[in-house]
Amino acid sequence: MQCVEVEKLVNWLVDDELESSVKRSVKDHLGECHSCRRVFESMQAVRGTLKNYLPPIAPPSRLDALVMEAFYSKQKQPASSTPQSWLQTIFGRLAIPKPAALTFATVVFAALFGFAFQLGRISATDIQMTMPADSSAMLQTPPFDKISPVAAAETPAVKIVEVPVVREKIVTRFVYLNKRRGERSEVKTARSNPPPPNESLMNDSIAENGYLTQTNLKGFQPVSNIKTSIIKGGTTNEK
Amino acid sequence: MNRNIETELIKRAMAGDASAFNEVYLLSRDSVYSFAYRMLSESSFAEDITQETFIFLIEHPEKYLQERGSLPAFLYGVARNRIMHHLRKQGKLLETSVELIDDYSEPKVETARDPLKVLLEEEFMAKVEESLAVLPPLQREAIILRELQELSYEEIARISEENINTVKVRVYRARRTLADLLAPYVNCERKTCYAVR
Repeated sequence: MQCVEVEKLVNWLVDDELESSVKRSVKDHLGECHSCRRVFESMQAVRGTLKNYLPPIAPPSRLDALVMEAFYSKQKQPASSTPQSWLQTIFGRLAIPKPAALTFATVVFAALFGFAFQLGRISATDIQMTMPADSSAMLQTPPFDKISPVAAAETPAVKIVEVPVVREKIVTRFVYLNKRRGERSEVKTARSNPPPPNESLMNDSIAENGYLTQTNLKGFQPVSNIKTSIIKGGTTNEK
Repeated sequence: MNRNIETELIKRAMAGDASAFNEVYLLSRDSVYSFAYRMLSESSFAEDITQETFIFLIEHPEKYLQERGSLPAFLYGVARNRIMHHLRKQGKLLETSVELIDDYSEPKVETARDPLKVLLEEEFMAKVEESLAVLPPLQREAIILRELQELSYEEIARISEENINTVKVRVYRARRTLADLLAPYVNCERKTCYAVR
């Protein structure tokens, strides 16, 4: 026997799956060929190595609890009749082949659908979309603070930013004004301890630096008086 | 375990007998987990695979047919599908060509170091695990099921959904590759081979 042949058979020899005559020939060759014998012995060594140096590994103990939990959950589920099960029950009893049953079901369904369509049960014109009579109420927005410049032609555009206010407390409102050219902005801070509630807060106005500012706190119930003030914010490019 | 006893245990387990299921579970748990762990080299993934395998058995006991094979073989098949799905998701190449196998003929070990001085038993075990992890997944699967789980070639062929000759070739290639990789650590003199320590 040649080395090329033995190389193909040596694996079967390791598994002891060669018939006796072939096995004898291979063993005879291995007795004479050092190279082939090394291959055979190294492959045998692999078997022993894997068994001795790769023992079974036990999984983490939590796995046991997870699997048993799944088992108990399954036991608690009621025996439900799935669509497949009642189909199997019906067609199993009638002994109807599955392809025939499927064809029959398709034909019946198509016939029913066509019949319903002919009766006009399905009509796109029956579908109408209605709108509420008065949808203007949907478009109302809450009041914003308004700024009325004394001289509309001279005053630049302003940016009104509404800050959400929690009704239970008063948060300082920031009103950003575009700075006039050449004017200095004054920085003022809001009072930290607001005064008691005052009706005048409902419609307050401040005239300062030529701007008339109105604040509208309608809808809010301030727990204490605050004084709205103009503070510096942003750059001259803000509008 | 006797096949009839095994089937009887499963019947009782699926009828709600917790002790029967626990027995079935404990008999196969370590084998399935070891298989998954050796294939994936990750204990967390192996744990997930093992859990999913037994949950599949709980949810679909009708899928196990005694005439098709033993319960461990069935469980390996379920685990195997999930393992291969996981490896494909990771982009792992499941099998390599013959040309790549030829590259394994050169052992990738440090020949400058004397293996006699290097290895303690734990190091050799690590080397064996590392060598096993280097194998392409399909060869790794074949060698694990053949050598560690001691399944027959027929059972392995059924689990991996391949013909028996393909399985034998994979086992052969895996043995050759492992033999090359472990050659510096395994001394074969005359008729005995042993790990060099």
